Formats: sequence, structure tokens, C-alpha cells
Amino acid sequence: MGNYLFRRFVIFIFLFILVTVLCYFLLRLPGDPYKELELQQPNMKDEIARMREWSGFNDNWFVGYTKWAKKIIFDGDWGKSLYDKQPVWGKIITKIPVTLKIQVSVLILGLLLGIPLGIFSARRHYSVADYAITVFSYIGISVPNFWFGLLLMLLFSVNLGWLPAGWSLRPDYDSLSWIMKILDQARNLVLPVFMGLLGTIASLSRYMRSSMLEVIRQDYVRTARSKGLSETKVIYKHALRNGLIPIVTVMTLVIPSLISGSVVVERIFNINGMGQLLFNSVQSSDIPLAMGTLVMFAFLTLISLILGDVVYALVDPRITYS
Amino acid sequence: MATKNKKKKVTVIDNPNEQEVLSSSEYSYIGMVWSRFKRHKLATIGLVLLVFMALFAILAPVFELITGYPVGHSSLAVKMSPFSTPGVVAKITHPDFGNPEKPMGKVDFWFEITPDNNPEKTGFASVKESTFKNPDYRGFYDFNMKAYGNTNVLLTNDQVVEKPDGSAEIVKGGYSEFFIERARNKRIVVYNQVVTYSPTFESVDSRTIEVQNGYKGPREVDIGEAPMNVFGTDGLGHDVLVRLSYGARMTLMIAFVVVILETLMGIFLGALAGFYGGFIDALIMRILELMMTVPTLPIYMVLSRFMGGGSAIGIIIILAAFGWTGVARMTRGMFLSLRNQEFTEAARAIGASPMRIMFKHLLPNSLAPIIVGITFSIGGVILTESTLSFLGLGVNKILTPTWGGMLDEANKYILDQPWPAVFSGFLIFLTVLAVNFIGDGLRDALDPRLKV
Repeated sequence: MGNYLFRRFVIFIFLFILVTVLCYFLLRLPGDPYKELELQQPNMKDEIARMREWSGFNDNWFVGYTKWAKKIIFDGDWGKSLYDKQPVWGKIITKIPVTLKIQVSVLILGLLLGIPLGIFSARRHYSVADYAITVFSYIGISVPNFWFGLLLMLLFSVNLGWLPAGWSLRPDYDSLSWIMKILDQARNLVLPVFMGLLGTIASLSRYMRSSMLEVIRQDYVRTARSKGLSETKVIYKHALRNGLIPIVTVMTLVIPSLISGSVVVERIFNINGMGQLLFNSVQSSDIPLAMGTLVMFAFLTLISLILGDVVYALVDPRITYS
Repeated sequence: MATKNKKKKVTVIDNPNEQEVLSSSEYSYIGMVWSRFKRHKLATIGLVLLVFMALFAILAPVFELITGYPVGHSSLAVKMSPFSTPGVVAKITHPDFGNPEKPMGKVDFWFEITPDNNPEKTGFASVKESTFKNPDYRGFYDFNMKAYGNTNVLLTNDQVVEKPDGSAEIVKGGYSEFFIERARNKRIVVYNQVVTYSPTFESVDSRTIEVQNGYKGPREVDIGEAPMNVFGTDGLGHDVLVRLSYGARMTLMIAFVVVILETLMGIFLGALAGFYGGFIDALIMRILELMMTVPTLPIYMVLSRFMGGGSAIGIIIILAAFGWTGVARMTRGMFLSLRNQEFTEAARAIGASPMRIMFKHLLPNSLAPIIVGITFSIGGVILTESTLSFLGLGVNKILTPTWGGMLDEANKYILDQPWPAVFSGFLIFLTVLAVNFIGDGLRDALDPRLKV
């Protein structure tokens, strides 16, 4: 197994490099932004040339990529934003916490609610409750989440005025006690988390339901039942362990979707996090900054895939690694 | 199955009556699937909803007739204010541009404005003390605007003071959004409150600088009033119903074309990988893993920027290029399990070519899960396309309405006028729900034991 994981790891590193190459290539596709400017402003040729030199647009994409990668690997230097000349790494580090807070809450709450819902639905197969949960999960995966977020904002912050419409900590936040600080953060987190939660719960419960149904059908569960074990024991001691295995695979798909989700959530609630940073930097061709955020996102995705592999290998002893 | 089987959603094997249906030869396979599909309540609801959406899309010209608002027509265009300028060409003349020492913080920002491309009318507009947050000057800025010469640039809430020498000064700036492409600055269109960049400026109907907000809510419509805007008009003065209907066309068209393309690609690549195995399989699977690892939304963002102009074809290509992985994985899985079965051996023994084995023998046997997977992916494509349009990366929303684009537009006025946003989002939701219900029904009808 160690050998297998090592091979996966090598493949992942290879994939990671490919992803960064692809991203850099795509970011450079729109071409040299200074070309047209040069035509319009012939008297500013020198300044434009200086700008181009500084921002790295005078190299072709491959040379630019190798320069960018070399700087990171050897100097740990992620470059500077083309716009405000601030170091990219510092910008990213300050934006990570709020994005993580939202997405990790979505993930944890989604698991805590979605999995029991799926188990419940599978246990009451074909009952009214199962039917209701199935319809709910279809609704959950069909709602465009940006629309759902807007509706939440309209209802809870505009009409009812209960929760802030964007990320707005209290003005006296710094002087609050730690418990009030947490509460204030939670107040801001409710709507963004709820927006991401609907789809996550829906898809997790759907997968959980079908995988539990698959397991419950199997002989060893029947054996456990005929031994006279209580239903609770059958479900939670025998069936659940195997029912959870496919969820590991599902998680590796959920995490990338949360990353895309962070762009949308942060735009709707105007939260200054990684998603906004990514969106703005890509939109404005701020290549060092865009590359930095893209690499962070790709890194998180790959880490989740690797973890998925490891967990999969740990929980399912039947898998052989050749 | 130990659980109660009273409800009728039952697998074929469990129910003796259904087994009869299966074995009786008077039903074809399609007929059998259809009869099972019909008994699936959710699927029937989904089918009805989808037919409704299709009708809604087809009836677009009828709505145009009823409301008297063709799709590009804006109520604003008729109320052209004396200050309006039919065409504005803006050039960036920025004194500090290209100076790496000076960060572009607070600067004066000049527009050179040439109405109607008439150089005699050239004037300047300056934006003072603006804080530019992005290198392409895109975003929300607080600014004062000045117009000289014969140029009039109006922004909502601005007060225009006309001077004796013919120049006009706009006193108060307020919050206005404008964005200009740094590199390829071409033209800007100034709408109420919004300055919108549009690469195909000439074909925009309401290319006027306007003061009014074109919104009219459904409740403000008098019954029997000449142009009947049943759902009201949006911020640009377009009829919401007509645009929703054309949006249905665009959204459904994109979804179906993308799904057809990604199905063809997915089946072909998945078939190659599953049938040949070995090096081809490894290569295709690595590409597939790469596609799944890349954070797709940013890639869409980059690509749609490159594709430019927001054409439907660009979006279709982008979505199809990254969407084939699901179908490919499914096809590969089915082919892997089928390629060692006896009927494949038999086909090989009588000398059938690999292509024939793949597409005449293996494919028909793996169609059930593929069809179900495709149906579910239609919903996914609609959602992705709407998200892109909502982020302003989809089809050009001024020229061609899509539901996502309309939601983006309506989002700007959502506090005062939530209805356009609610309508367009609800239609996206209903369509995706319908498709997913149909997928559920198809799964139960084609092969109840599928786990798609």
C-alpha cells in the first residue's frame, strides 16, 4: 500500500505541475495588453516598455512560466501584484482565513446533517419521509446557489433585518471579549454558510442514501439481522462502515465544488476572501496574483484528492494495490 | 429486500407483475421503459415542466407581439433626454500610466469622448480622485465627472450645470459603475448608473446615455395599458417577460448543444480507454484526472475572457471541453466490465473490427447508465452556464438575454425591485429540477439498480 500511495503521490505532483502550466498558459492567452496601448500612445513608448518589462509580458508564456516557477521554488517569492505592487503571498495569506471559515463550516455542517439524513432516508426506504427527503435533495441540487443566496439576503437582511448582508463585523469588534468575537463572526457567517449548505446537504444525503441502500441489501447485513441484533446495531455497527466508503470518493468531488462556490458566495455577500481575490485578479489579468490564488486552490484540491486516496485505502481493506 | 414494498417504486425482480410485463413480447424495450417512466410521479412532473419551458421558449415572438416590446426594444429609448448622446467612444489618456514607480492609487482619469465618432465634438470627461482597485479600472468608484465641449455624460443622481460657454459640469458623482478594458479599449455605453462595455456597440438598441431608471414593477402596470408589460420592465427598460422567454431559448439551446458535444466526446474517449486499456487508458485517465483537478470555475473565467465578446459558441466550447469527463468515466467503466464477456469474445471470434465491437456490441449494452448520466448532466450544464452568466462571463447579456445574465442585471436593482431577479432564478431552478426529475425517472425505468 505504501508503494501504491507513493505512486499516487508522484502522479499528483506531476498533475499539480501540469495544472500550473495550464493555468499560466490560459492566463497569457489574451495576449499582450500593452500592444494596443502602444498604438494609441506612441509618445509613451518608453514607459510602456518599462511596464511591460516589469510585468513580465515581454517574455513568451513558457519563459514567463519558468521564471515564475523558479522564483517560487528557489526564493519562495510569489511575485508582486501587477496593480498595487504588493507581495502576492501577503495578499493571499490575509484572505485565506475568511474563506476557510466559510467553506470548512459548510463542509462540516454538510457532513453532520447530510449523512444522518441519508441514513435515515435509507432506513425508511419508500416511506413518506424517504420520499420527502428525496424530493428535498432534488430541490437542493437544482437550486442555483447564487439565486438562493440572493433570496436569503433579501429575506433575512433586507426584509427582516436580522443578519448582515455582507461581511460587516461590529465597529467595536477589537475591544470585544473572545466569546462576543466568535458570536459576531458567526452572525456574519450564517447566510454565506447557509447558501453553500443547501446543495452540499442535498448531494451528500443523496449519495449516502444510495450507498446505504446498496449495503443494506447485502448478505452480511442479513446475517447480522438474523443473528438477532438490534436494528440500530445492524445499521450503525455493520452497515454504516461500508456505507461510508463511497462518501470518501464523493468528498473528493465536493471539495473542488466548494472552491468554485467560494467565488460565488464571496461575490454575492461581498466578502473579501480568496474567491474575490481570484475573480478580480483573473478578470484584470493580474498574472502573479491570479497564479498565486489558482495555485492555492489547485493545491487544496489535490490535497483533498490525496487524502481521499489515503482514507479510501484505510477504510476499505478489500482493495488490493497492484 | 427486507423493507416494506407497499409503494410501487420497486425493482423488477421483486414484483411478479412487472416480471410478466418484462417477459411478454407485446412490449418493445422502449415501450416497457416508457410505461415504467410514466408511472414515476416525479418524472412525469419533470416532463410536464420541461415541455412547458420549451413552449415558453418557442412562444417568444408571441410575447413580443402581445407586449409590443421586441427583444432589443427599451422603453428608455423613446424617452431620449436632451442630454443623450447616441454614441460615445472613449479613449484612455492617463498621465501616470506606465510609471512603475507610481502606484496607481489616486489619479485623475480622463476620458476622451467622441460622440458619433465626430472629431469636432470631442470633449473630455475626467474622473477625479478615484481609487482604482484594479489595473483595468473596473469596479465601483466614487467620482466626479466633468464634461466639456458638446459632450454630455450623465449619471444618475448627478446634477448637470450648464455653463454659458456650452460646457456642462456634473456636480455630484454618487456611486457609479464603469469599466473599461485597459488594453482593448473600444467603446463604452453609458446606461443609467451603469457604464457598460460592449464590443458590438452598434447593434445595441438603447445606446443612449440615460437618466431614468427603466424599471417598472408588475404591480405598477395598468391593465389595458397599451404596451402590456405583464412582468414589468427591467432596469434598462426591456420587457421582462420577453427577455425571460428569449433567455429560455438561449439557456436551453446552450445546455442541449453542450450535452450533445460532451456526450460524443465522452463516449468516444471513454470507449477507447475502456476497450483498449493499457497505455491509451492510462493516458486518457490522466487527462481526465487533470480536467477534474483543475479548479474549473477559474479556468472558465480565463477562457471566457479570452473567447471575448460573450458569444454563445465560446461558452459552448468551454463547457463541452471540460464537461466530457463524467460520460467518459461512465463509458470506460461499462466497457471494462463488458469487454471480457462472452458476447464480446464471440464478436471478436467472428472477426469483427474493434470499432464494430465497440460501437455495435459494447455501446448498446452500456447505454442505460450513460443516458441517465447525460440527463443529470443537463441540469449541471444549465447551472454552470447560469453561474458564468451571473458572474458576467457568459453570453453577452445586453444583446442576448440568458437567465443567468438577467439575474446579474437584476441584481443591481435587487433592493428596490427584486422581481426580475426572482423570476429568472426561479426559471433556472424549475428547469434544472425538471431535468433532474426526468433523470430520476429514467434511472428507475431503464435500470433500477443504477447508482448514478
